[in-house]
Amino acid sequence: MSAVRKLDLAKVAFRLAFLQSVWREGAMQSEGLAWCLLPGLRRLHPDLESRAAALRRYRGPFNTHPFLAGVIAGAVLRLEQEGTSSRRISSFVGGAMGGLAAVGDPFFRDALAPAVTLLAALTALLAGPLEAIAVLVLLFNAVHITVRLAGVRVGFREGTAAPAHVARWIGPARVRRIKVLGAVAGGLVLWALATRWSGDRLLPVGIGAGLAGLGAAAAFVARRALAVWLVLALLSAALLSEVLL
Amino acid sequence: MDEALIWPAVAFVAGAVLLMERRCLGQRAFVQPLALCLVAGLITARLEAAIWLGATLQMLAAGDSRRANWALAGLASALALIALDGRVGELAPGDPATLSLLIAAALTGVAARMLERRLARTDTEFSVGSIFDAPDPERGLNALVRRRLLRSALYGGIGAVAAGAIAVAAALALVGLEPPAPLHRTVVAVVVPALGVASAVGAHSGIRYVGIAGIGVIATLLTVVMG
Repeated sequence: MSAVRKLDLAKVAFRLAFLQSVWREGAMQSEGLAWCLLPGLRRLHPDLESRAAALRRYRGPFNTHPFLAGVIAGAVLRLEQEGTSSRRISSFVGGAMGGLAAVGDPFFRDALAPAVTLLAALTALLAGPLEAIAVLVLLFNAVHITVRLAGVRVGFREGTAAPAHVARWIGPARVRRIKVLGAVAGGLVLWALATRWSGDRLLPVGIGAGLAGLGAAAAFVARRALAVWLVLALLSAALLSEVLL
Repeated sequence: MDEALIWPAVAFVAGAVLLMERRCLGQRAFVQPLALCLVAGLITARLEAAIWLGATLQMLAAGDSRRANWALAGLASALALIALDGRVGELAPGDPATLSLLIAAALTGVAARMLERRLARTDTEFSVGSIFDAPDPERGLNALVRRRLLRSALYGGIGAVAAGAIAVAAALALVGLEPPAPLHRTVVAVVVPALGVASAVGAHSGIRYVGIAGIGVIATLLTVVMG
Protein backbone atom coordinates (compact mmCIF):
# COMPACT_ATOMS: atom_id res chain seq x y z
CA MET A 1 0.00 0.00 0.00
CA SER A 2 1.47 3.37 -1.03
CA ALA A 3 1.40 6.36 1.27
CA VAL A 4 -0.93 9.28 0.73
CA ARG A 5 0.93 12.22 -0.78
CA LYS A 6 0.52 15.97 -0.39
CA LEU A 7 -0.95 16.17 -3.89
CA ASP A 8 -3.60 13.61 -2.90
CA LEU A 9 -4.50 15.70 0.15
CA ALA A 10 -4.72 18.81 -2.06
CA LYS A 11 -7.10 16.99 -4.40
CA VAL A 12 -9.19 15.86 -1.43
CA ALA A 13 -9.28 19.45 -0.15
CA PHE A 14 -10.47 20.66 -3.55
CA ARG A 15 -13.15 17.96 -3.79
CA LEU A 16 -14.42 18.90 -0.33
CA ALA A 17 -15.69 22.11 -1.92
CA PHE A 18 -18.32 19.90 -3.57
CA LEU A 19 -19.23 17.93 -0.44
CA GLN A 20 -22.64 19.53 -0.12
CA SER A 21 -23.50 19.29 -3.81
CA VAL A 22 -24.84 15.75 -3.36
CA TRP A 23 -26.51 16.26 0.03
CA ARG A 24 -29.84 14.51 0.37
CA GLU A 25 -32.10 13.04 3.02
CA GLY A 26 -30.86 9.85 4.59
CA ALA A 27 -27.40 9.71 3.06
CA MET A 28 -26.75 13.40 3.86
CA GLN A 29 -23.04 14.00 3.17
CA SER A 30 -21.92 10.36 3.07
CA GLU A 31 -21.78 10.07 -0.70
CA GLY A 32 -20.03 13.42 -0.86
CA LEU A 33 -17.46 12.28 1.69
CA ALA A 34 -16.80 9.04 -0.17
CA TRP A 35 -16.32 10.94 -3.43
CA CYS A 36 -13.99 13.45 -1.76
CA LEU A 37 -11.81 10.67 -0.31
CA LEU A 38 -11.26 9.05 -3.71
CA PRO A 39 -7.86 10.63 -4.53
CA GLY A 40 -6.46 9.31 -1.25
CA LEU A 41 -8.19 5.95 -1.51
CA ARG A 42 -6.89 5.47 -5.05
CA ARG A 43 -3.37 5.93 -3.71
CA LEU A 44 -3.93 3.50 -0.82
CA HIS A 45 -5.96 0.92 -2.74
CA PRO A 46 -4.83 0.75 -6.38
CA ASP A 47 -6.99 -2.32 -7.08
CA LEU A 48 -10.68 -1.87 -7.74
CA GLU A 49 -11.98 -4.46 -5.28
CA SER A 50 -10.04 -3.20 -2.30
CA ARG A 51 -10.98 0.40 -3.16
CA ALA A 52 -14.66 -0.53 -3.47
CA ALA A 53 -14.50 -2.20 -0.07
CA ALA A 54 -12.89 0.93 1.39
CA LEU A 55 -15.56 3.18 -0.14
CA ARG A 56 -18.32 1.03 1.37
CA ARG A 57 -17.01 1.93 4.82
CA TYR A 58 -18.47 5.42 4.27
CA ARG A 59 -21.98 4.51 3.20
CA GLY A 60 -23.52 5.21 6.61
CA PRO A 61 -25.12 8.61 7.35
CA PHE A 62 -22.56 11.37 7.65
CA ASN A 63 -23.28 15.03 8.39
CA THR A 64 -20.99 17.67 9.83
CA HIS A 65 -20.12 21.31 9.33
CA PRO A 66 -18.99 21.46 5.67
CA PHE A 67 -16.05 23.78 6.42
CA LEU A 68 -14.68 21.27 8.97
CA ALA A 69 -15.34 18.06 7.06
CA GLY A 70 -11.75 18.19 5.84
CA VAL A 71 -10.53 17.42 9.34
CA ILE A 72 -12.41 14.13 9.27
CA ALA A 73 -11.38 13.41 5.68
CA GLY A 74 -7.69 13.89 6.51
CA ALA A 75 -7.92 11.85 9.69
CA VAL A 76 -9.76 9.04 7.94
CA LEU A 77 -7.09 8.82 5.24
CA ARG A 78 -4.48 8.58 7.98
CA LEU A 79 -6.44 5.73 9.61
CA GLU A 80 -6.85 4.01 6.24
CA GLN A 81 -3.12 4.31 5.62
CA GLU A 82 -2.41 2.75 9.03
CA GLY A 83 -4.71 -0.17 8.20
CA THR A 84 -7.15 0.66 11.01
CA SER A 85 -10.19 -1.61 11.28
CA SER A 86 -13.52 -0.57 9.72
CA ARG A 87 -15.19 -0.56 13.12
CA ARG A 88 -12.63 1.83 14.56
CA ILE A 89 -12.89 4.15 11.54
CA SER A 90 -16.70 4.18 11.75
CA SER A 91 -16.55 4.85 15.47
CA PHE A 92 -14.16 7.78 14.96
CA VAL A 93 -16.25 9.27 12.11
CA GLY A 94 -19.48 8.94 14.11
CA GLY A 95 -18.00 10.74 17.12
CA ALA A 96 -16.07 13.39 15.23
CA MET A 97 -18.87 14.55 12.96
CA GLY A 98 -21.13 15.57 15.83
CA GLY A 99 -18.31 17.21 17.75
CA LEU A 100 -17.15 19.30 14.80
CA ALA A 101 -20.69 20.32 13.93
CA ALA A 102 -21.10 21.47 17.53
CA VAL A 103 -18.08 23.81 17.29
CA GLY A 104 -18.50 24.76 13.62
CA ASP A 105 -21.98 26.25 13.84
CA PRO A 106 -21.31 28.59 16.79
CA PHE A 107 -18.14 29.87 15.13
CA PHE A 108 -19.06 30.20 11.45
CA ARG A 109 -22.84 30.63 11.53
CA ASP A 110 -23.42 32.44 14.83
CA ALA A 111 -20.25 34.51 15.11
CA LEU A 112 -18.11 34.96 11.99
CA ALA A 113 -20.83 35.28 9.30
CA PRO A 114 -22.96 37.87 11.18
CA ALA A 115 -19.89 39.84 12.30
CA VAL A 116 -18.42 40.02 8.79
CA THR A 117 -21.87 40.89 7.40
CA LEU A 118 -22.25 43.79 9.82
CA LEU A 119 -18.72 45.03 9.12
CA ALA A 120 -19.38 44.86 5.39
CA ALA A 121 -22.71 46.70 5.75
CA LEU A 122 -20.93 49.38 7.80
CA THR A 123 -18.23 49.66 5.16
CA ALA A 124 -20.86 50.01 2.42
CA LEU A 125 -22.54 52.84 4.34
CA LEU A 126 -19.38 54.70 5.29
CA ALA A 127 -16.88 53.93 2.55
CA GLY A 128 -17.96 52.56 -0.80
CA PRO A 129 -19.20 49.51 -2.69
CA LEU A 130 -15.82 48.13 -3.66
CA GLU A 131 -14.50 48.40 -0.12
CA ALA A 132 -17.62 46.66 1.19
CA ILE A 133 -17.27 43.81 -1.30
CA ALA A 134 -13.62 43.46 -0.33
CA VAL A 135 -14.48 43.28 3.38
CA LEU A 136 -17.31 40.81 2.81
CA VAL A 137 -15.44 38.43 0.54
CA LEU A 138 -11.86 38.69 1.80
CA LEU A 139 -12.50 38.72 5.53
CA PHE A 140 -14.84 35.74 5.65
CA ASN A 141 -12.86 33.68 3.18
CA ALA A 142 -9.50 34.39 4.75
CA VAL A 143 -10.77 32.49 7.78
CA HIS A 144 -12.98 29.96 6.05
CA ILE A 145 -10.52 28.86 3.37
CA THR A 146 -7.64 28.68 5.85
CA VAL A 147 -9.68 26.41 8.13
CA ARG A 148 -10.78 24.28 5.19
CA LEU A 149 -7.34 23.72 3.72
CA ALA A 150 -5.51 23.42 7.00
CA GLY A 151 -8.19 21.05 8.28
CA VAL A 152 -7.28 18.35 5.78
CA ARG A 153 -3.58 18.69 6.53
CA VAL A 154 -4.04 18.70 10.31
CA GLY A 155 -6.51 15.83 10.07
CA PHE A 156 -3.97 13.68 8.24
CA ARG A 157 -1.14 14.70 10.55
CA GLU A 158 -2.96 14.32 13.88
CA GLY A 159 -5.35 11.49 13.04
CA THR A 160 -7.95 10.90 15.73
CA ALA A 161 -6.61 13.81 17.79
CA ALA A 162 -7.37 16.26 14.98
CA PRO A 163 -10.94 17.26 15.96
CA ALA A 164 -9.86 18.34 19.43
CA HIS A 165 -6.90 20.18 17.91
CA VAL A 166 -9.12 22.07 15.48
CA ALA A 167 -11.77 22.79 18.11
CA ARG A 168 -9.15 24.86 19.93
CA TRP A 169 -8.78 27.16 16.86
CA ILE A 170 -12.44 28.09 17.01
CA GLY A 171 -13.08 27.77 20.72
CA PRO A 172 -15.56 29.73 22.86
CA ALA A 173 -13.15 32.58 23.70
CA ARG A 174 -12.56 33.36 20.04
CA VAL A 175 -16.29 33.07 19.34
CA ARG A 176 -17.04 35.60 22.08
CA ARG A 177 -14.48 38.08 20.77
CA ILE A 178 -15.88 37.88 17.26
CA LYS A 179 -19.42 38.33 18.56
CA VAL A 180 -18.39 41.46 20.48
CA LEU A 181 -16.86 42.85 17.29
CA GLY A 182 -20.05 42.01 15.41
CA ALA A 183 -22.25 43.65 18.03
CA VAL A 184 -20.17 46.85 17.95
CA ALA A 185 -20.36 46.85 14.15
CA GLY A 186 -24.11 46.29 14.36
CA GLY A 187 -24.52 49.28 16.63
CA LEU A 188 -22.46 51.44 14.31
CA VAL A 189 -24.57 50.26 11.35
CA LEU A 190 -27.66 51.56 13.19
CA TRP A 191 -25.87 54.90 13.61
CA ALA A 192 -24.75 54.93 9.95
CA LEU A 193 -28.29 54.12 8.73
CA ALA A 194 -29.70 56.94 10.79
CA THR A 195 -27.15 59.53 9.69
CA ARG A 196 -27.36 58.50 6.02
CA TRP A 197 -31.12 58.32 5.54
CA SER A 198 -32.77 60.26 8.36
CA GLY A 199 -31.88 63.64 6.96
CA ASP A 200 -32.96 66.40 9.33
CA ARG A 201 -35.10 63.93 11.32
CA LEU A 202 -32.08 62.27 12.89
CA LEU A 203 -33.28 62.53 16.44
CA PRO A 204 -36.75 61.01 16.27
CA VAL A 205 -36.24 58.67 13.32
CA GLY A 206 -32.65 57.69 14.01
CA ILE A 207 -33.12 57.06 17.70
CA GLY A 208 -36.47 55.39 17.13
CA ALA A 209 -35.10 53.05 14.48
CA GLY A 210 -32.11 52.25 16.66
CA LEU A 211 -34.31 51.35 19.60
CA ALA A 212 -36.65 49.34 17.37
CA GLY A 213 -33.65 47.47 16.00
CA LEU A 214 -32.36 46.66 19.48
CA GLY A 215 -35.80 45.56 20.64
CA ALA A 216 -36.19 43.28 17.64
CA ALA A 217 -32.68 41.88 18.17
CA ALA A 218 -33.58 41.00 21.76
CA ALA A 219 -36.71 39.22 20.51
CA PHE A 220 -34.68 37.30 17.94
CA VAL A 221 -32.20 36.21 20.60
CA ALA A 222 -35.14 34.67 22.45
CA ARG A 223 -36.71 33.08 19.36
CA ARG A 224 -34.34 32.96 16.42
CA ALA A 225 -36.72 31.00 14.23
CA LEU A 226 -39.09 33.94 14.46
CA ALA A 227 -36.67 36.40 12.85
CA VAL A 228 -37.27 36.00 9.14
CA TRP A 229 -41.05 35.62 9.41
CA LEU A 230 -41.43 38.58 11.72
CA VAL A 231 -39.21 40.78 9.58
CA LEU A 232 -41.12 39.82 6.41
CA ALA A 233 -44.41 40.55 8.20
CA LEU A 234 -43.13 43.95 9.32
CA LEU A 235 -41.84 44.76 5.83
CA SER A 236 -45.22 43.85 4.38
CA ALA A 237 -46.94 46.05 6.97
CA ALA A 238 -44.60 48.90 6.04
CA LEU A 239 -45.41 48.42 2.36
CA LEU A 240 -49.14 48.34 3.04
CA SER A 241 -48.86 51.52 5.07
CA GLU A 242 -47.11 53.24 2.13
CA VAL A 243 -49.71 52.02 -0.36
CA LEU A 244 -52.81 52.71 1.70
CA LEU A 245 -51.90 55.91 3.57
CA MET B 1 -37.02 42.01 -29.01
CA ASP B 2 -33.29 41.38 -28.60
CA GLU B 3 -33.31 43.09 -25.22
CA ALA B 4 -36.23 40.94 -24.11
CA LEU B 5 -34.12 37.84 -24.76
CA ILE B 6 -30.81 39.14 -23.45
CA TRP B 7 -31.95 39.69 -19.87
CA PRO B 8 -33.42 36.18 -19.37
CA ALA B 9 -30.35 34.65 -21.01
CA VAL B 10 -27.99 36.61 -18.76
CA ALA B 11 -30.16 35.82 -15.74
CA PHE B 12 -30.13 32.11 -16.57
CA VAL B 13 -26.35 31.97 -16.97
CA ALA B 14 -25.79 34.07 -13.85
CA GLY B 15 -28.12 31.84 -11.85
CA ALA B 16 -26.64 28.62 -13.21
CA VAL B 17 -23.09 29.64 -12.32
CA LEU B 18 -23.54 31.74 -9.20
CA LEU B 19 -26.23 29.79 -7.39
CA MET B 20 -24.19 26.59 -7.56
CA GLU B 21 -21.90 28.31 -5.10
CA ARG B 22 -24.51 27.79 -2.42
CA ARG B 23 -23.71 24.10 -2.38
CA CYS B 24 -20.32 23.95 -4.04
CA LEU B 25 -16.98 25.68 -4.12
CA GLY B 26 -17.11 28.48 -1.56
CA GLN B 27 -20.52 27.56 -0.24
CA ARG B 28 -22.08 30.91 0.50
CA ALA B 29 -18.66 32.47 0.76
CA PHE B 30 -18.52 34.53 -2.42
CA VAL B 31 -22.04 34.83 -3.80
CA GLN B 32 -23.52 37.12 -1.16
CA PRO B 33 -26.60 39.35 -1.49
CA LEU B 34 -24.67 42.50 -0.57
CA ALA B 35 -21.92 41.79 -3.11
CA LEU B 36 -24.43 41.00 -5.87
CA CYS B 37 -26.52 44.11 -5.23
CA LEU B 38 -23.46 46.36 -5.02
CA VAL B 39 -22.22 45.06 -8.37
CA ALA B 40 -25.67 45.79 -9.83
CA GLY B 41 -25.56 49.22 -8.17
CA LEU B 42 -22.22 49.97 -9.79
CA ILE B 43 -23.51 48.85 -13.20
CA THR B 44 -26.72 50.89 -12.99
CA ALA B 45 -25.41 53.82 -10.90
CA ARG B 46 -28.20 53.18 -8.37
CA LEU B 47 -25.92 52.75 -5.40
CA GLU B 48 -28.32 53.96 -2.72
CA ALA B 49 -30.96 51.38 -3.63
CA ALA B 50 -28.28 48.73 -4.06
CA ILE B 51 -26.81 49.35 -0.60
CA TRP B 52 -30.27 49.42 0.96
CA LEU B 53 -31.43 46.19 -0.70
CA GLY B 54 -28.13 44.34 -0.44
CA ALA B 55 -27.36 45.25 3.17
CA THR B 56 -30.87 44.33 4.33
CA LEU B 57 -30.85 40.96 2.57
CA GLN B 58 -27.28 40.24 3.69
CA MET B 59 -28.13 40.92 7.33
CA LEU B 60 -31.31 38.85 7.14
CA ALA B 61 -29.21 36.04 5.67
CA ALA B 62 -26.73 36.28 8.54
CA GLY B 63 -29.62 36.09 10.98
CA ASP B 64 -31.09 32.87 9.63
CA SER B 65 -29.07 31.42 6.78
CA ARG B 66 -31.14 28.23 6.54
CA ARG B 67 -34.58 29.78 6.20
CA ALA B 68 -34.15 30.95 2.61
CA ASN B 69 -31.93 30.78 -0.42
CA TRP B 70 -30.47 34.24 0.24
CA ALA B 71 -28.11 34.04 -2.71
CA LEU B 72 -31.16 33.72 -4.96
CA ALA B 73 -32.85 36.63 -3.18
CA GLY B 74 -29.73 38.76 -3.67
CA LEU B 75 -29.39 37.73 -7.31
CA ALA B 76 -33.08 38.47 -7.94
CA SER B 77 -32.63 41.97 -6.49
CA ALA B 78 -29.51 42.59 -8.54
CA LEU B 79 -31.14 41.35 -11.75
CA ALA B 80 -34.21 43.47 -11.04
CA LEU B 81 -32.08 46.60 -10.54
CA ILE B 82 -30.39 45.94 -13.87
CA ALA B 83 -33.68 45.17 -15.67
CA LEU B 84 -35.29 48.36 -14.34
CA ASP B 85 -32.34 50.55 -15.30
CA GLY B 86 -33.47 53.20 -17.72
CA ARG B 87 -37.10 52.10 -17.45
CA VAL B 88 -38.16 53.65 -14.18
CA GLY B 89 -37.21 56.80 -12.33
CA GLU B 90 -35.39 56.82 -9.05
CA LEU B 91 -35.63 53.73 -6.85
CA ALA B 92 -34.88 55.33 -3.51
CA PRO B 93 -34.55 53.51 -0.19
CA GLY B 94 -37.95 53.47 1.46
CA ASP B 95 -39.93 53.93 -1.77
CA PRO B 96 -42.88 51.55 -2.23
CA ALA B 97 -41.36 50.10 -5.43
CA THR B 98 -37.99 49.43 -3.77
CA LEU B 99 -39.62 47.91 -0.69
CA SER B 100 -41.85 45.77 -2.88
CA LEU B 101 -38.77 44.54 -4.78
CA LEU B 102 -37.07 43.66 -1.48
CA ILE B 103 -40.06 41.72 -0.15
CA ALA B 104 -40.54 39.86 -3.44
CA ALA B 105 -36.85 38.91 -3.58
CA ALA B 106 -36.88 37.66 0.03
CA LEU B 107 -40.05 35.64 -0.55
CA THR B 108 -38.62 33.99 -3.67
CA GLY B 109 -35.63 32.97 -1.56
CA VAL B 110 -37.91 31.45 1.07
CA ALA B 111 -40.02 29.67 -1.56
CA ALA B 112 -36.90 28.32 -3.30
CA ARG B 113 -35.61 26.91 -0.02
CA MET B 114 -38.94 25.17 0.67
CA LEU B 115 -38.83 23.67 -2.82
CA GLU B 116 -35.25 22.49 -2.27
CA ARG B 117 -36.24 20.73 0.93
CA ARG B 118 -39.17 19.04 -0.79
CA LEU B 119 -36.90 17.88 -3.64
CA ALA B 120 -34.27 16.61 -1.21
CA ARG B 121 -36.91 14.50 0.58
CA THR B 122 -38.18 12.95 -2.63
CA ASP B 123 -34.80 12.46 -4.31
CA THR B 124 -34.69 8.83 -5.33
CA GLU B 125 -32.74 9.12 -8.54
CA PHE B 126 -29.84 7.11 -7.16
CA SER B 127 -30.37 5.00 -4.08
CA VAL B 128 -27.47 4.78 -1.62
CA GLY B 129 -27.45 1.01 -2.06
CA SER B 130 -27.25 1.16 -5.84
CA ILE B 131 -24.06 3.21 -5.57
CA PHE B 132 -22.17 1.50 -2.78
CA ASP B 133 -23.28 -2.06 -3.58
CA ALA B 134 -22.22 -1.81 -7.20
CA PRO B 135 -18.93 -3.53 -8.12
CA ASP B 136 -17.44 -0.10 -8.91
CA PRO B 137 -18.90 2.48 -6.49
CA GLU B 138 -16.46 5.08 -7.80
CA ARG B 139 -18.27 5.20 -11.11
CA GLY B 140 -21.62 5.67 -9.39
CA LEU B 141 -20.24 8.45 -7.19
CA ASN B 142 -18.72 10.28 -10.16
CA ALA B 143 -22.01 10.03 -12.02
CA LEU B 144 -23.93 11.27 -8.95
CA VAL B 145 -21.72 14.33 -8.52
CA ARG B 146 -21.89 15.18 -12.23
CA ARG B 147 -25.67 14.87 -12.33
CA ARG B 148 -26.11 16.92 -9.18
CA LEU B 149 -23.90 19.72 -10.44
CA LEU B 150 -25.78 19.86 -13.75
CA ARG B 151 -29.08 19.80 -11.91
CA SER B 152 -27.92 22.59 -9.58
CA ALA B 153 -26.93 24.66 -12.58
CA LEU B 154 -30.27 24.08 -14.30
CA TYR B 155 -32.34 24.84 -11.21
CA GLY B 156 -30.17 27.85 -10.46
CA GLY B 157 -30.67 29.25 -13.94
CA ILE B 158 -34.42 28.72 -13.92
CA GLY B 159 -34.70 30.05 -10.38
CA ALA B 160 -32.76 33.20 -11.23
CA VAL B 161 -34.98 34.00 -14.23
CA ALA B 162 -38.17 33.34 -12.28
CA ALA B 163 -37.11 35.18 -9.12
CA GLY B 164 -35.73 38.12 -11.09
CA ALA B 165 -38.95 38.41 -13.07
CA ILE B 166 -41.03 38.33 -9.89
CA ALA B 167 -38.87 41.05 -8.31
CA VAL B 168 -39.16 43.21 -11.44
CA ALA B 169 -42.92 42.74 -11.55
CA ALA B 170 -43.24 43.59 -7.85
CA ALA B 171 -41.33 46.85 -8.36
CA LEU B 172 -43.16 47.81 -11.56
CA ALA B 173 -46.53 47.23 -9.87
CA LEU B 174 -45.87 50.16 -7.52
CA VAL B 175 -43.65 52.40 -9.58
CA GLY B 176 -46.44 54.77 -10.58
CA LEU B 177 -47.81 55.10 -7.05
CA GLU B 178 -47.91 58.50 -5.44
CA PRO B 179 -44.82 58.73 -3.23
CA PRO B 180 -45.42 58.53 0.52
CA ALA B 181 -44.95 61.54 2.78
CA PRO B 182 -41.26 62.33 3.29
CA LEU B 183 -41.37 61.42 6.99
CA HIS B 184 -43.06 58.11 6.21
CA ARG B 185 -40.46 57.28 3.58
CA THR B 186 -37.61 58.25 5.88
CA VAL B 187 -38.94 56.01 8.64
CA VAL B 188 -39.22 53.06 6.26
CA ALA B 189 -35.77 53.75 4.77
CA VAL B 190 -34.14 53.57 8.19
CA VAL B 191 -36.27 50.97 9.98
CA VAL B 192 -36.15 48.28 7.27
CA PRO B 193 -32.36 47.77 7.35
CA ALA B 194 -32.46 48.28 11.13
CA LEU B 195 -34.56 45.11 11.24
CA GLY B 196 -31.80 43.46 9.23
CA VAL B 197 -29.29 44.60 11.86
CA ALA B 198 -31.59 43.13 14.51
CA SER B 199 -31.58 39.81 12.69
CA ALA B 200 -27.79 39.71 12.37
CA VAL B 201 -27.09 40.83 15.95
CA GLY B 202 -29.75 38.37 17.16
CA ALA B 203 -27.75 35.59 15.51
CA HIS B 204 -25.01 36.18 18.07
CA SER B 205 -27.41 34.50 20.50
CA GLY B 206 -26.73 36.54 23.58
CA ILE B 207 -28.56 39.48 25.10
CA ARG B 208 -25.24 41.07 26.07
CA TYR B 209 -24.46 41.56 22.38
CA VAL B 210 -27.73 43.42 21.94
CA GLY B 211 -26.61 45.64 24.80
CA ILE B 212 -23.24 46.22 23.11
CA ALA B 213 -25.06 47.16 19.89
CA GLY B 214 -26.74 49.92 21.92
CA ILE B 215 -23.57 51.82 21.11
CA GLY B 216 -25.38 52.74 17.89
CA VAL B 217 -28.15 54.57 19.69
CA ILE B 218 -25.60 56.37 21.85
CA ALA B 219 -23.60 57.33 18.76
CA THR B 220 -26.75 58.70 17.11
CA LEU B 221 -27.58 60.74 20.22
CA LEU B 222 -24.05 62.12 20.33
CA THR B 223 -24.32 63.04 16.65
CA VAL B 224 -27.50 64.98 17.36
CA VAL B 225 -26.04 66.67 20.46
CA MET B 226 -22.82 67.64 18.72
CA GLY B 227 -24.85 69.04 15.83
